[in-house]
Amino acid sequence: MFRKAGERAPERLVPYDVDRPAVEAARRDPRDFEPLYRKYVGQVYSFAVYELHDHHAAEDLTEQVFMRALVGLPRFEERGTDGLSTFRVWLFQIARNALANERRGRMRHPQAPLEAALGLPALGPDPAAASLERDALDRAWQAIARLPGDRRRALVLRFVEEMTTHEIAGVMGRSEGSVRVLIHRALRAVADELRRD
Amino acid sequence: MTDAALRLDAYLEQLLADREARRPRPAAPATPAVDPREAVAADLLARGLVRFHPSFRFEEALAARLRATADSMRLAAAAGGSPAEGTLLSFPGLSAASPMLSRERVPARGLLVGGAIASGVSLAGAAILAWRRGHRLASEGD
Repeated sequence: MFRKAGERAPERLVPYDVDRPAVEAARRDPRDFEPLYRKYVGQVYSFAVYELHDHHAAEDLTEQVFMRALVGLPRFEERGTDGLSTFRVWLFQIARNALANERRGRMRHPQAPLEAALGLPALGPDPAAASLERDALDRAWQAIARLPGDRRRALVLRFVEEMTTHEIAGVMGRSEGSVRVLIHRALRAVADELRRD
Repeated sequence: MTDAALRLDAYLEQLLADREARRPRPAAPATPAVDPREAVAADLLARGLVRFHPSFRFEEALAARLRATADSMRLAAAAGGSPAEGTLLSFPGLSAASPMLSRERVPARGLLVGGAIASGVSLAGAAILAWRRGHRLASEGD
C-alpha cells in the first residue's frame, strides 16, 4: 500500500482533449477562436433551447457563453479541479453558470411548455408508426417537463449532447455515480409515463 | 439502485455509439439486466430528442461579434494591456451585488478596462510629450 522511497506516484490518466490544438491556437491568437465557436455553437444553443424553451433567450445565452469563453480562454486549464477537464466540459460549465443567472432574471416571466416551444420532430415515413411514436414522444416530453432541473439537464446532456457520464459529471459538478443515478431516475420517470395508458 | 444505474449507463453508451455509427439496433436489449421499459424509453429519447441549431443569420452575426472582440483583445495586448486579466472596479454608489456588476458582464467590462488602460497610457504619453515640447520651447526662449 505504501510506496518505497524513490518510487514515483502513479500518474492519473488524463483523457486527451481533442480540442487541445484549437485551444492552443486560440490562446496564441484570439482570432483563431472561430473554429471552436463553429464546432460548438449548435451544441450550446441546443442545450440553451432545452433549458429555456425559447429560441430568442437561447440565442442571448449562446452569445454570453461564447463571449465569456473567448475572453476567459487564457484562464482555461485542461486540468480542472478533479484533474480531468476538457474544453467542451469547460464551455458547458460556463453555459450552466450563465443559465443560472439567466433563470434568476426570468423568474417573473412565464415559460412556454417545452414541446410547444420546440415543436416535435418528424418521425419516420410510415404515417401510422409515426403517429404512435409521436404520441409516445408527446408523453415522454410531458414526463421530461415534470422532472427536477438536474435530472432533466443530465438527460439532455446524455441524449442530445451525447456526453459521457464523466463529462456530465464535470459540467454539473457532481460525481459520476450521482450522474448515473440522476439519469436512471429520469429515464424511469419517462418509462412510467409511457407505461400509463 | 447504483448497480441498475451502472448497467443502464453501459446500455446507453452502446445505444448512443450505435446511433452515431448508424448501426441497426436489436429488437431486445443486449443487456438483459436493463429494465425493458427503460430500454424502450431510452430508444425513444435517442430518436426523439433532436439537437437544435441556431439560424444562419444568428450564427454569422455572433461570429462577426466574436471576431471584433478578438481584434480588440489583440490590440489591447499589443498596447501592453491584458483585457482578460483586467480588474473590475465598481462605480461609486454601486455595490458588488449590483446587477450592473453581475458575473456575465465581467468579460465585457474586462475588455473595457483593458481598453481604458490603453487609452489612459496614450493620453498620458501625449501629455508628457506636450509638456516636454513646451518646456524646451520655453528654455529656448530664455
